[in-house]
Amino acid sequence: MSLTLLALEWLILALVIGLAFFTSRWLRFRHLRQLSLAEARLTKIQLHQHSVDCQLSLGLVASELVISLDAFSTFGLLLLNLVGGSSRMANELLVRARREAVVRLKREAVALGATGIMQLRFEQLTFGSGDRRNQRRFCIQAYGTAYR
Amino acid sequence: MICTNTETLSGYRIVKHLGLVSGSTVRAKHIGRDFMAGLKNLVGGELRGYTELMTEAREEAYLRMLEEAKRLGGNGVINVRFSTASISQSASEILAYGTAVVIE
Repeated sequence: MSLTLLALEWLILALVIGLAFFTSRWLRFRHLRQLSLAEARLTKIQLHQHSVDCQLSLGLVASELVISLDAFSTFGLLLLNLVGGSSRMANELLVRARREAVVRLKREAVALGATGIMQLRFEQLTFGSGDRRNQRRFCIQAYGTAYR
Repeated sequence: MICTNTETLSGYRIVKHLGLVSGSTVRAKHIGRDFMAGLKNLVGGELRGYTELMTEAREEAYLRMLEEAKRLGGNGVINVRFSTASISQSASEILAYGTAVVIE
């Protein structure tokens, strides 16, 4: 009796973990798909890391994005601390965050009637140092000047 | 009021530089938002509550910078930069700074 209960408990735990795992993969996949769709629609907005000659500066545009690493990749990262090496998932997360921040920036520029963004800068904002969870939460900021 | 993070302003003429202006704000996280973020931490992805928090903080710092520029008699800020610093375990400061100018 108690053995079946124990087995049931383990089964439920495995189910929850499995569900969370597949949800995280699915969310990541969905985000990547949305990103490529949005990027395809916004290709007409040019990005420049330097200043360019233009007719009119339209003003500053900025966007932020807070993104967190899923629990499984965090665990992987923890194991990686022992042996060293690179984390593909953590790397991909940061790239994804920057792409999303740029998409939001471009949307703002479109709203201003701009043809491009110059002096694009990326910055990483911090939330305070003490919280352990902050180690896997990242705030990416992108800003630049919209021009026509 | 026009702001850019470039050194020049296309389409306008800079008449006078008024010097450095800055604005900052310190924000701590909200406990309700933190609870939801805790759940979201399991599966990863964007934490919308936190994104909003950061955007609000950035806008406030930005507006304070603009107010200072206005007080000096400027009508534009060029070379704007953003920067952050951790204050405590769960609070951070967002700083916006730039050069106030008079443009026409």
